[in-house]
Amino acid sequence: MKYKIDCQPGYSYLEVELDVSESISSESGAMAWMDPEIEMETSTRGGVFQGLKRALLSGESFFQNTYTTQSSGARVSLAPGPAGAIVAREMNGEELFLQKGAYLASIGDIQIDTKFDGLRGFFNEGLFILRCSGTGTLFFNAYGDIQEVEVDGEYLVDNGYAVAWEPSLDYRLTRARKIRSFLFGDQLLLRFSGRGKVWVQSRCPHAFASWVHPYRRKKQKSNN
Amino acid sequence: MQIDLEGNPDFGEARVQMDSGERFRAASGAMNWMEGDIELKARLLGGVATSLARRVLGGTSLFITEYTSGGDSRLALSHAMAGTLVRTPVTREGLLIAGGAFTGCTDGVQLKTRFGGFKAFFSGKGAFFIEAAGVGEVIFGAYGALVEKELDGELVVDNGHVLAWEHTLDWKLGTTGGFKNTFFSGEGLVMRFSGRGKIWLQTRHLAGTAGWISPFLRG
Amino acid sequence: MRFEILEQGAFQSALVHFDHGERLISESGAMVRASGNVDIDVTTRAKKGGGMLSGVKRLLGGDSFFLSTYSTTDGGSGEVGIAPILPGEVMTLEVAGASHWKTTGGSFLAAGGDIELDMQFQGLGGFISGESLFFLEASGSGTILVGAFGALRELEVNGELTIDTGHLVAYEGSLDYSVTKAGGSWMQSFLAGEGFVMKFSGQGRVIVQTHDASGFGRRLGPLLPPRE
Repeated sequence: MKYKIDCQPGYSYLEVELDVSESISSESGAMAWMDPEIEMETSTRGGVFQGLKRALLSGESFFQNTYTTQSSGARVSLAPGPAGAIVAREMNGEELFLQKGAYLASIGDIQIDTKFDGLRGFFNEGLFILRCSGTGTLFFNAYGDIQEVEVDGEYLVDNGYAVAWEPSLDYRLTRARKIRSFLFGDQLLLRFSGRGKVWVQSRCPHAFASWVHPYRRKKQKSNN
Repeated sequence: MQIDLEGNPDFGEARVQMDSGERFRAASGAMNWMEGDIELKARLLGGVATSLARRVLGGTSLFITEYTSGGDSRLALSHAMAGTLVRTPVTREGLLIAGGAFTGCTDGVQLKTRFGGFKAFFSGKGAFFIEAAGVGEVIFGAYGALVEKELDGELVVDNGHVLAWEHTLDWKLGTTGGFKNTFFSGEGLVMRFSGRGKIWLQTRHLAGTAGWISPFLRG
Repeated sequence: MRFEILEQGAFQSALVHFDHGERLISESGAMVRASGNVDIDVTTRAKKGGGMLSGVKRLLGGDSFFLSTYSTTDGGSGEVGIAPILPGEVMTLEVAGASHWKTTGGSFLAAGGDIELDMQFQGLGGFISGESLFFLEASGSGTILVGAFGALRELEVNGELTIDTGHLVAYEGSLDYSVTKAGGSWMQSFLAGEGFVMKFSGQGRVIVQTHDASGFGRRLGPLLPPRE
C-alpha cells in the first residue's frame, strides 16, 4: 500500500494505491476520484464505527466506504469536506482523541468510539470527540493548517481549534472568565495540562457554522 | 488585452487589462473591482438546455456579464469559491466546464449550456455544464486545489470533483453501482470518463463541505 | 504590543504579544488561544470610555457583534492568538492622527493601542431591501488587524475605483464613495449579479480581498439543513 498527501496545506487530498489483498476505509462522501478497478462498498458498521447511536452523536456520518481491488496498483483519491490539511498518524495500539468531523480514513485495525464531556451545569453543551485506537494508519483532516504543540505544563485554546490530542494530556472545558453576555454562549475553552501533543488547526468549525447560519434556508412551516 | 493570474493556488484572481473597444465576458458576480471606462451588460447564456436550466437553477446563473472598455481599463475577477483559477485556450471542439465554475472568457469563445445524461430532476445542479469552444481563452475556477490529468484510459470521478474536460473524452453520468451505494455512500453521482484527453479535477466540493459542517450547526 | 503574522499557507493568523496595561480588543469569535495569564472580558462596548451600546446592534443575518477585551492577571506580558473565520490572509493597518481606517464589520479582527472604534451603518436602497453595510471606524493611535476571505490587496485610488461590496475590506477615511449600481440599469446590474458596488473617489488606499464571503455563503447555504 502506498499513499501520498498532496496539495498541502490549503486543499489537500489523499491518494492511496492498493494491492489485491489490501483495503482502506473512509468517511462516506470522501471519494473524489478513482481508477475503475477500485471496488467501493458502503456499510454501516464492520470495521470502524461501533454502533448507530454513537455515530450520530459524534457527527461522523452513519456510513463508511471500504475500498478494495482485484487489480494491484489501482488508486483511489479521498478528499475531506473542509479547506485544510490532512495528517497521517501511525497508530501502534495507543489512543488518539479527534474533534468530530475530523476522521477521514484509516488503514488496518482502527476502532473509533465517541465520547461526550458535558460542561458542568449545562445539559447539551460540551465536547463531542472521537476516541481512536488500534493499530494501523489513521488519517484525519483539519479546518485550516495544523500546528503541532508539545504541551508541557498548561495550554489554553478555544475548543474549536483543537483537532486532535494525545490521551496523556488532562483536559478541562472552561468558559472565558467574566463573560457579561450570555448570548455569547457557544465558545468554550479547553485547558490542557500535563505532557502530550495537541494538533491545533488554524480555523474553527464552530465559527464557520455561526457564519454560514444566516445563509441556510428557513424551515417551511407545515400546513395543518 | 492582457490577462494575468495572481493568487494561485489558493486564491486565484484574474487581472484583465483592456484597451478601447475590447470586450470580456464573465460569470455573474465574478467582478472584484474595476477601474477606467467600462460598460456592463447582462447577456443570457444560450444553448439547447437553457429553458431546462432555468427551471433547475433559477434565473441569475444563466446570465453572464459582458464588459466593454471605452479606454484604458482594468478588471479584476475571481470565482465564487476559493481555490485555483485556471486559464486555458479553447479549441474548435471545445471543452466542457462544470456550470458553476465558469469565470470568464475572451471574445471569440462561444458558450453553450449543456446537461448531463440523466433526466434533469435526478441530476440537479451538478450535471449542468458550459461548453466553451471557438478561438480564445476561457477562465474557470476550482473549489480547492487543481489536479490536472492527461487521461488515457478510464477514470471514475465524483460529480462534485469534476471541474472541466476536453471534448475528446467520452463520459457517462452514473452511480457507483448498486442502489445501496448510490443512496448512502455520499457519492450521489459519478462521471465515468474514458478515452484520451485532458481532465481538470478539484480537491473540494460543496456537498462535502456541507456534510462536514452540518453537525456543528445549531437549530 | 506586537502583532506577529503567522503564515500557514492559505490560513494566516496573528499572535498578539502585549504588556500589562496595554489595551487589546478583538471581535470575540476571533480568539484562538491565549496564554494562561490572560483574562477575557466579553462586552458589546465599542466606544472607548462609554458603556454598552444601546441594545445590541443586529447585523445582517441576525448575528450580533461582540468584542473581547484582554488583560493580564499577573502584571506580566501575555499572548493572544487571533484568526479569521474563513481561509485567507490577515494584515495590520496603522492608525495615527488624521489617518484613520474604516473596515467592514466582517473583516475587523482586533485593535491594539489607543484606538476608538465607532460602528456605522450604510443603508442600501434598491432591490435588496433591509441589507446594510456595517463598518467600524478606527481612529486614535494604534494598530488594527483585519482578515480576508482570500488574499489581501492594497489598491491606490487615483481618481475613481469601483469595488464590488463583497470584496471591500477597509478604506482610508479620506476617500469619498457612493454606493451605486454596477451596470447601465438596476435590472442589468441585478442580472449581472453585481447588485451593489462602491465607487471610490479622491486620494487614498483601499484594502480589498480576492474572494467574496457572501458569494460562498449563498452557494453553500442551500445545501445545508434548513434552520428554524
